[in-house]
Amino acid sequence: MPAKKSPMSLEKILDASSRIGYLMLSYGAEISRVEDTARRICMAYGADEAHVFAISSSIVITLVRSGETLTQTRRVTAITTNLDRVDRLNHLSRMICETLPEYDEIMASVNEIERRPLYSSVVSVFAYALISGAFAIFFSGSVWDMLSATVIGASIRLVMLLLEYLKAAPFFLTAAAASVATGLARLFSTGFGAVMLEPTLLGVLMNLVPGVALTNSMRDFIATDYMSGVGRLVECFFTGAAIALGAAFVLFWR
Amino acid sequence: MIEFLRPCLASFVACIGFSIVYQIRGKNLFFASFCGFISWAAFLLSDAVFGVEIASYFFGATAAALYAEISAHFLKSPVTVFLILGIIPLVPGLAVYRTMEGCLTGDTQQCLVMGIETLKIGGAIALGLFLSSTLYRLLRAAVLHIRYGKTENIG
Repeated sequence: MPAKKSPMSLEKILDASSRIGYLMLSYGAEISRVEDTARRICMAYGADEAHVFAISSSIVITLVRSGETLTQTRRVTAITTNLDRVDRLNHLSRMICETLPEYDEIMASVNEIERRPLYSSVVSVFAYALISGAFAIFFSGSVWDMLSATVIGASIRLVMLLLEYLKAAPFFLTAAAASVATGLARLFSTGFGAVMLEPTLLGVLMNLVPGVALTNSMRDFIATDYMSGVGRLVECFFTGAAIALGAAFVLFWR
Repeated sequence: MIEFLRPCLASFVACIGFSIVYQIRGKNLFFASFCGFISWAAFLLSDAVFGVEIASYFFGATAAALYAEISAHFLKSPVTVFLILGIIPLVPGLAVYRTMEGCLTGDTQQCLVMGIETLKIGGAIALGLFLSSTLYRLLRAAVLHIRYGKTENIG
Protein backbone atom coordinates (compact mmCIF):
# COMPACT_ATOMS: atom_id res chain seq x y z
CA MET A 1 0.00 0.00 0.00
CA PRO A 2 1.46 3.44 -0.89
CA ALA A 3 1.89 4.86 2.63
CA LYS A 4 2.73 8.35 1.47
CA LYS A 5 3.55 10.95 4.11
CA SER A 6 0.21 12.38 5.14
CA PRO A 7 -0.11 15.40 7.41
CA MET A 8 -3.25 14.11 9.10
CA SER A 9 -2.97 13.98 12.87
CA LEU A 10 -3.48 10.76 14.79
CA GLU A 11 -6.63 12.14 16.44
CA LYS A 12 -8.23 12.83 13.09
CA ILE A 13 -7.37 9.41 11.69
CA LEU A 14 -8.80 7.82 14.81
CA ASP A 15 -11.92 9.95 14.70
CA ALA A 16 -12.61 9.28 11.02
CA SER A 17 -12.03 5.52 11.26
CA SER A 18 -14.08 5.08 14.42
CA ARG A 19 -16.93 7.15 13.07
CA ILE A 20 -17.10 5.05 9.91
CA GLY A 21 -16.74 1.82 11.90
CA TYR A 22 -19.40 2.92 14.36
CA LEU A 23 -21.86 3.80 11.61
CA MET A 24 -21.28 0.53 9.76
CA LEU A 25 -21.94 -1.38 12.99
CA SER A 26 -25.11 0.53 13.73
CA TYR A 27 -26.43 -0.04 10.21
CA GLY A 28 -25.98 -3.79 10.53
CA ALA A 29 -22.70 -4.69 8.82
CA GLU A 30 -20.98 -7.88 9.95
CA ILE A 31 -18.25 -7.53 12.59
CA SER A 32 -15.39 -8.78 10.45
CA ARG A 33 -16.18 -6.16 7.79
CA VAL A 34 -16.29 -3.36 10.35
CA GLU A 35 -12.95 -4.37 11.87
CA ASP A 36 -11.34 -4.80 8.47
CA THR A 37 -12.59 -1.44 7.18
CA ALA A 38 -11.42 0.51 10.23
CA ARG A 39 -8.01 -1.19 10.16
CA ARG A 40 -7.52 -0.51 6.47
CA ILE A 41 -8.34 3.19 6.85
CA CYS A 42 -5.90 3.56 9.76
CA MET A 43 -3.11 1.73 7.94
CA ALA A 44 -3.67 3.71 4.74
CA TYR A 45 -2.94 6.94 6.63
CA GLY A 46 0.36 5.56 7.82
CA ALA A 47 -0.36 4.26 11.32
CA ASP A 48 2.31 1.85 12.55
CA GLU A 49 -0.22 -0.34 14.28
CA ALA A 50 -4.00 -0.35 14.31
CA HIS A 51 -5.82 -2.57 16.79
CA VAL A 52 -9.52 -2.73 16.09
CA PHE A 53 -11.92 -4.71 18.21
CA ALA A 54 -15.65 -4.72 17.65
CA ILE A 55 -18.61 -6.59 19.03
CA SER A 56 -22.18 -5.94 17.98
CA SER A 57 -22.59 -3.28 20.69
CA SER A 58 -19.21 -1.54 20.79
CA ILE A 59 -16.08 -0.71 18.82
CA VAL A 60 -12.60 0.04 20.23
CA ILE A 61 -9.73 1.33 18.10
CA THR A 62 -6.17 1.80 19.32
CA LEU A 63 -3.67 3.54 17.04
CA VAL A 64 0.11 3.62 17.36
CA ARG A 65 2.34 5.95 15.36
CA SER A 66 5.94 6.82 16.16
CA GLY A 67 5.63 6.18 19.87
CA GLU A 68 2.30 7.91 20.29
CA THR A 69 -0.72 5.80 21.28
CA LEU A 70 -4.37 6.78 21.14
CA THR A 71 -7.55 4.84 21.87
CA GLN A 72 -11.16 5.62 21.16
CA THR A 73 -14.20 3.56 21.99
CA ARG A 74 -17.75 3.99 20.78
CA ARG A 75 -20.83 2.29 22.08
CA VAL A 76 -23.54 1.12 19.67
CA THR A 77 -26.89 1.18 21.43
CA ALA A 78 -29.26 0.25 18.65
CA ILE A 79 -28.84 -1.49 15.30
CA THR A 80 -31.16 -0.24 12.59
CA THR A 81 -30.61 -2.26 9.44
CA ASN A 82 -29.81 -0.05 6.49
CA LEU A 83 -27.88 -1.99 3.87
CA ASP A 84 -27.87 0.96 1.48
CA ARG A 85 -25.78 2.99 3.92
CA VAL A 86 -23.52 0.03 4.69
CA ASP A 87 -22.92 -0.21 0.94
CA ARG A 88 -22.19 3.53 0.62
CA LEU A 89 -19.84 3.50 3.63
CA ASN A 90 -18.06 0.53 2.09
CA HIS A 91 -17.62 2.50 -1.14
CA LEU A 92 -16.39 5.50 0.81
CA SER A 93 -13.78 3.53 2.74
CA ARG A 94 -12.48 2.01 -0.51
CA MET A 95 -12.20 5.52 -1.91
CA ILE A 96 -10.47 6.75 1.26
CA CYS A 97 -7.83 4.03 1.06
CA GLU A 98 -7.14 4.82 -2.60
CA THR A 99 -7.06 8.62 -2.58
CA LEU A 100 -6.33 9.53 1.10
CA PRO A 101 -8.61 12.61 1.24
CA GLU A 102 -8.48 15.29 3.95
CA TYR A 103 -10.38 14.89 7.24
CA ASP A 104 -13.03 17.49 6.36
CA GLU A 105 -13.64 15.80 3.03
CA ILE A 106 -14.20 12.44 4.75
CA MET A 107 -16.61 13.96 7.25
CA ALA A 108 -18.51 15.75 4.48
CA SER A 109 -18.93 12.44 2.60
CA VAL A 110 -20.06 10.65 5.77
CA ASN A 111 -22.58 13.39 6.47
CA GLU A 112 -23.83 13.08 2.93
CA ILE A 113 -24.32 9.32 3.40
CA GLU A 114 -26.20 10.02 6.64
CA ARG A 115 -28.57 12.26 4.71
CA ARG A 116 -29.43 9.59 2.14
CA PRO A 117 -33.18 9.03 1.89
CA LEU A 118 -35.03 6.27 3.73
CA TYR A 119 -38.11 4.41 2.59
CA SER A 120 -41.09 5.91 4.40
CA SER A 121 -43.28 4.05 6.89
CA VAL A 122 -46.04 3.86 4.28
CA VAL A 123 -43.71 2.07 1.89
CA SER A 124 -42.70 -0.35 4.65
CA VAL A 125 -46.36 -1.22 5.24
CA PHE A 126 -46.65 -2.15 1.56
CA ALA A 127 -43.37 -4.07 1.76
CA TYR A 128 -44.70 -6.17 4.66
CA ALA A 129 -47.88 -6.84 2.72
CA LEU A 130 -45.81 -7.90 -0.30
CA ILE A 131 -43.60 -10.22 1.76
CA SER A 132 -46.59 -11.87 3.45
CA GLY A 133 -48.50 -12.40 0.23
CA ALA A 134 -45.51 -13.79 -1.63
CA PHE A 135 -44.57 -16.16 1.20
CA ALA A 136 -48.17 -17.40 1.44
CA ILE A 137 -47.84 -18.49 -2.19
CA PHE A 138 -44.35 -19.79 -1.43
CA PHE A 139 -45.77 -22.11 1.27
CA SER A 140 -48.15 -23.46 -1.42
CA GLY A 141 -51.13 -21.35 -0.38
CA SER A 142 -54.06 -20.38 -2.61
CA VAL A 143 -54.99 -16.95 -3.92
CA TRP A 144 -57.26 -16.51 -0.88
CA ASP A 145 -54.37 -17.24 1.47
CA MET A 146 -52.30 -14.69 -0.40
CA LEU A 147 -54.97 -12.03 -0.08
CA SER A 148 -55.55 -12.58 3.62
CA ALA A 149 -51.79 -12.72 4.28
CA THR A 150 -51.40 -9.40 2.48
CA VAL A 151 -53.99 -7.76 4.70
CA ILE A 152 -52.54 -9.28 7.88
CA GLY A 153 -48.98 -8.33 6.85
CA ALA A 154 -49.97 -4.70 6.42
CA SER A 155 -51.78 -4.68 9.76
CA ILE A 156 -48.90 -6.17 11.75
CA ARG A 157 -46.62 -3.48 10.30
CA LEU A 158 -49.05 -0.86 11.53
CA VAL A 159 -49.03 -2.43 14.98
CA MET A 160 -45.21 -2.54 14.92
CA LEU A 161 -44.99 1.11 13.88
CA LEU A 162 -47.25 2.07 16.76
CA LEU A 163 -45.17 0.04 19.24
CA GLU A 164 -41.93 1.44 17.80
CA TYR A 165 -43.32 4.91 18.34
CA LEU A 166 -44.09 3.97 21.95
CA LYS A 167 -40.49 2.69 22.27
CA ALA A 168 -41.44 -0.91 23.09
CA ALA A 169 -38.61 -3.40 23.74
CA PRO A 170 -37.68 -5.41 20.61
CA PHE A 171 -38.60 -8.73 22.24
CA PHE A 172 -42.07 -7.50 23.10
CA LEU A 173 -42.44 -5.87 19.69
CA THR A 174 -41.79 -9.17 17.89
CA ALA A 175 -44.00 -11.14 20.27
CA ALA A 176 -46.86 -8.66 19.93
CA ALA A 177 -46.60 -8.67 16.12
CA ALA A 178 -46.62 -12.48 16.14
CA SER A 179 -49.75 -12.57 18.34
CA VAL A 180 -51.59 -10.07 16.18
CA ALA A 181 -50.63 -12.06 13.08
CA THR A 182 -51.78 -15.33 14.63
CA GLY A 183 -55.01 -13.86 15.93
CA LEU A 184 -55.94 -12.37 12.58
CA ALA A 185 -54.93 -15.52 10.71
CA ARG A 186 -57.17 -17.60 12.99
CA LEU A 187 -60.00 -15.14 12.57
CA PHE A 188 -59.69 -15.21 8.77
CA SER A 189 -59.38 -18.97 8.53
CA THR A 190 -62.43 -19.62 10.72
CA GLY A 191 -64.40 -16.79 9.12
CA PHE A 192 -63.77 -17.71 5.49
CA GLY A 193 -63.64 -21.38 4.57
CA ALA A 194 -61.33 -20.75 1.63
CA VAL A 195 -58.49 -19.43 3.79
CA MET A 196 -56.11 -21.99 5.26
CA LEU A 197 -54.39 -21.20 8.55
CA GLU A 198 -50.93 -22.59 7.91
CA PRO A 199 -49.74 -20.91 4.70
CA THR A 200 -51.31 -17.62 5.72
CA LEU A 201 -49.75 -17.61 9.17
CA LEU A 202 -46.33 -18.84 8.03
CA GLY A 203 -46.29 -16.25 5.26
CA VAL A 204 -46.95 -13.45 7.71
CA LEU A 205 -44.54 -14.76 10.36
CA MET A 206 -41.69 -14.82 7.81
CA ASN A 207 -41.72 -11.01 8.14
CA LEU A 208 -40.34 -11.33 11.64
CA VAL A 209 -37.47 -13.69 10.75
CA PRO A 210 -34.13 -12.13 11.85
CA GLY A 211 -32.48 -12.46 8.43
CA VAL A 212 -29.68 -9.94 8.97
CA ALA A 213 -28.67 -11.31 12.37
CA LEU A 214 -28.71 -14.88 11.05
CA THR A 215 -26.59 -14.15 7.98
CA ASN A 216 -24.15 -11.94 9.89
CA SER A 217 -23.79 -14.62 12.52
CA MET A 218 -22.86 -17.19 9.89
CA ARG A 219 -20.48 -14.75 8.16
CA ASP A 220 -18.77 -14.06 11.48
CA PHE A 221 -18.37 -17.76 12.14
CA ILE A 222 -16.79 -18.16 8.70
CA ALA A 223 -14.40 -15.29 9.48
CA THR A 224 -13.48 -17.28 12.68
CA ASP A 225 -14.87 -14.52 14.90
CA TYR A 226 -16.73 -17.00 17.08
CA MET A 227 -17.68 -14.57 19.82
CA SER A 228 -19.55 -12.23 17.49
CA GLY A 229 -21.07 -15.24 15.74
CA VAL A 230 -22.43 -16.61 18.99
CA GLY A 231 -23.68 -13.16 19.99
CA ARG A 232 -25.73 -12.77 16.85
CA LEU A 233 -26.92 -16.36 17.02
CA VAL A 234 -28.30 -15.76 20.52
CA GLU A 235 -30.12 -12.74 19.10
CA CYS A 236 -31.70 -15.05 16.50
CA PHE A 237 -32.77 -17.53 19.18
CA PHE A 238 -34.36 -14.78 21.23
CA THR A 239 -36.24 -13.42 18.22
CA GLY A 240 -37.37 -16.95 17.42
CA ALA A 241 -38.53 -17.41 21.01
CA ALA A 242 -40.43 -14.11 20.84
CA ILE A 243 -42.22 -15.22 17.67
CA ALA A 244 -43.06 -18.60 19.22
CA LEU A 245 -44.30 -16.98 22.43
CA GLY A 246 -46.48 -14.48 20.61
CA ALA A 247 -47.92 -17.03 18.23
CA ALA A 248 -48.47 -19.64 20.94
CA PHE A 249 -50.47 -17.26 23.09
CA VAL A 250 -53.16 -16.97 20.47
CA LEU A 251 -52.78 -20.18 18.48
CA PHE A 252 -53.73 -22.50 21.32
CA TRP A 253 -56.27 -20.31 22.97
CA ARG A 254 -59.64 -21.98 22.63
CA MET B 1 -42.41 -26.05 -15.05
CA ILE B 2 -44.98 -23.70 -13.53
CA GLU B 3 -44.79 -25.76 -10.35
CA PHE B 4 -41.06 -25.12 -10.35
CA LEU B 5 -41.21 -21.42 -11.21
CA ARG B 6 -44.05 -20.39 -8.93
CA PRO B 7 -42.25 -20.74 -5.58
CA CYS B 8 -39.07 -19.27 -7.09
CA LEU B 9 -40.93 -16.20 -8.30
CA ALA B 10 -42.77 -15.97 -4.97
CA SER B 11 -39.42 -16.01 -3.21
CA PHE B 12 -38.14 -13.31 -5.56
CA VAL B 13 -41.14 -11.06 -4.88
CA ALA B 14 -40.88 -11.63 -1.13
CA CYS B 15 -37.20 -10.69 -1.31
CA ILE B 16 -38.10 -7.41 -3.03
CA GLY B 17 -40.19 -6.68 0.06
CA PHE B 18 -37.31 -7.59 2.35
CA SER B 19 -34.91 -5.43 0.33
CA ILE B 20 -37.20 -2.49 0.98
CA VAL B 21 -37.41 -3.32 4.69
CA TYR B 22 -33.59 -3.46 4.79
CA GLN B 23 -33.40 -0.14 2.89
CA ILE B 24 -31.58 -1.42 -0.20
CA ARG B 25 -31.73 1.13 -3.04
CA GLY B 26 -30.96 1.43 -6.73
CA LYS B 27 -29.89 -1.47 -8.93
CA ASN B 28 -28.91 -3.52 -5.86
CA LEU B 29 -32.64 -3.81 -5.11
CA PHE B 30 -33.04 -6.07 -8.13
CA PHE B 31 -29.77 -7.99 -7.87
CA ALA B 32 -30.18 -8.63 -4.14
CA SER B 33 -33.76 -9.85 -4.54
CA PHE B 34 -32.66 -12.12 -7.36
CA CYS B 35 -30.50 -13.98 -4.84
CA GLY B 36 -33.78 -15.23 -3.32
CA PHE B 37 -34.77 -16.62 -6.71
CA ILE B 38 -31.37 -18.29 -7.16
CA SER B 39 -31.29 -19.95 -3.76
CA TRP B 40 -34.78 -21.43 -4.06
CA ALA B 41 -34.20 -22.53 -7.66
CA ALA B 42 -31.04 -24.33 -6.52
CA PHE B 43 -33.01 -25.87 -3.65
CA LEU B 44 -35.72 -27.23 -5.98
CA LEU B 45 -33.19 -28.43 -8.56
CA SER B 46 -31.22 -30.31 -5.95
CA ASP B 47 -34.49 -31.68 -4.56
CA ALA B 48 -35.38 -33.02 -8.02
CA VAL B 49 -31.92 -34.53 -8.57
CA PHE B 50 -31.03 -35.97 -5.14
CA GLY B 51 -34.36 -36.00 -3.31
CA VAL B 52 -32.65 -35.46 0.05
CA GLU B 53 -34.05 -32.44 1.84
CA ILE B 54 -30.97 -31.63 3.89
CA ALA B 55 -28.75 -31.71 0.78
CA SER B 56 -31.14 -29.28 -0.91
CA TYR B 57 -30.70 -26.75 1.88
CA PHE B 58 -26.95 -27.19 1.55
CA PHE B 59 -26.97 -26.59 -2.21
CA GLY B 60 -29.43 -23.72 -1.90
CA ALA B 61 -27.04 -21.96 0.50
CA THR B 62 -24.05 -22.81 -1.71
CA ALA B 63 -25.71 -21.29 -4.77
CA ALA B 64 -26.79 -18.19 -2.83
CA ALA B 65 -23.30 -17.59 -1.47
CA LEU B 66 -21.69 -18.10 -4.88
CA TYR B 67 -24.14 -15.69 -6.51
CA ALA B 68 -23.59 -13.18 -3.68
CA GLU B 69 -19.80 -13.32 -4.00
CA ILE B 70 -19.94 -12.88 -7.77
CA SER B 71 -22.41 -9.99 -7.68
CA ALA B 72 -20.46 -8.36 -4.86
CA HIS B 73 -17.41 -8.48 -7.09
CA PHE B 74 -19.11 -6.97 -10.14
CA LEU B 75 -21.36 -4.45 -8.35
CA LYS B 76 -18.69 -3.45 -5.78
CA SER B 77 -21.02 -3.89 -2.81
CA PRO B 78 -20.68 -5.92 0.38
CA VAL B 79 -21.45 -9.64 0.02
CA THR B 80 -24.02 -9.54 2.83
CA VAL B 81 -26.27 -7.15 0.89
CA PHE B 82 -26.97 -10.01 -1.52
CA LEU B 83 -26.49 -12.96 0.80
CA ILE B 84 -29.11 -11.95 3.38
CA LEU B 85 -31.84 -12.07 0.75
CA GLY B 86 -30.64 -15.47 -0.46
CA ILE B 87 -30.78 -16.95 3.04
CA ILE B 88 -34.29 -15.75 3.90
CA PRO B 89 -36.26 -18.24 1.75
CA LEU B 90 -34.09 -21.05 3.17
CA VAL B 91 -34.98 -20.19 6.77
CA PRO B 92 -36.86 -23.30 7.98
CA GLY B 93 -40.06 -21.52 9.00
CA LEU B 94 -42.19 -24.65 8.79
CA ALA B 95 -39.79 -26.71 10.93
CA VAL B 96 -39.64 -24.02 13.62
CA TYR B 97 -43.44 -23.78 13.55
CA ARG B 98 -43.82 -27.55 14.01
CA THR B 99 -41.29 -27.51 16.86
CA MET B 100 -43.31 -24.87 18.65
CA GLU B 101 -46.57 -26.66 17.91
CA GLY B 102 -45.20 -29.91 19.32
CA CYS B 103 -43.87 -28.18 22.40
CA LEU B 104 -47.17 -26.47 23.16
CA THR B 105 -49.57 -29.31 22.45
CA GLY B 106 -47.54 -31.61 24.73
CA ASP B 107 -46.34 -33.71 21.78
CA THR B 108 -42.75 -33.96 23.00
CA GLN B 109 -41.76 -36.36 20.25
CA GLN B 110 -42.79 -33.96 17.48
CA CYS B 111 -41.10 -31.11 19.32
CA LEU B 112 -37.79 -32.98 19.56
CA VAL B 113 -37.89 -34.39 16.03
CA MET B 114 -38.69 -31.02 14.47
CA GLY B 115 -36.22 -29.24 16.75
CA ILE B 116 -33.42 -31.49 15.58
CA GLU B 117 -34.66 -31.00 12.01
CA THR B 118 -34.35 -27.23 12.47
CA LEU B 119 -30.81 -27.55 13.81
CA LYS B 120 -29.88 -29.87 10.93
CA ILE B 121 -31.17 -27.37 8.37
CA GLY B 122 -29.35 -24.51 10.10
CA GLY B 123 -26.13 -26.49 10.04
CA ALA B 124 -26.57 -27.40 6.37
CA ILE B 125 -27.08 -23.74 5.43
CA ALA B 126 -24.03 -22.65 7.45
CA LEU B 127 -21.87 -25.34 5.84
CA GLY B 128 -23.10 -24.39 2.37
CA LEU B 129 -22.19 -20.75 2.94
CA PHE B 130 -18.85 -21.71 4.40
CA LEU B 131 -17.86 -24.00 1.54
CA SER B 132 -18.97 -21.63 -1.19
CA SER B 133 -17.41 -18.47 0.26
CA THR B 134 -14.14 -20.18 1.11
CA LEU B 135 -13.76 -21.81 -2.28
CA TYR B 136 -14.57 -18.55 -4.04
CA ARG B 137 -11.96 -16.66 -2.00
CA LEU B 138 -9.39 -19.37 -2.67
CA LEU B 139 -10.08 -19.26 -6.40
CA ARG B 140 -9.88 -15.48 -6.47
CA ALA B 141 -6.60 -15.48 -4.56
CA ALA B 142 -5.21 -18.01 -7.05
CA VAL B 143 -6.31 -15.86 -10.01
CA LEU B 144 -4.83 -12.71 -8.43
CA HIS B 145 -1.58 -14.57 -7.77
CA ILE B 146 -1.31 -15.73 -11.38
CA ARG B 147 -2.18 -12.30 -12.77
CA TYR B 148 -0.38 -9.92 -10.43
CA GLY B 149 1.91 -12.08 -8.34
CA LYS B 150 0.12 -11.12 -5.13
CA THR B 151 -3.00 -12.32 -3.39
CA GLU B 152 -4.51 -9.08 -2.04
CA ASN B 153 -6.54 -6.45 -3.86
CA ILE B 154 -5.49 -2.89 -3.14
CA GLY B 155 -8.21 -0.85 -1.45
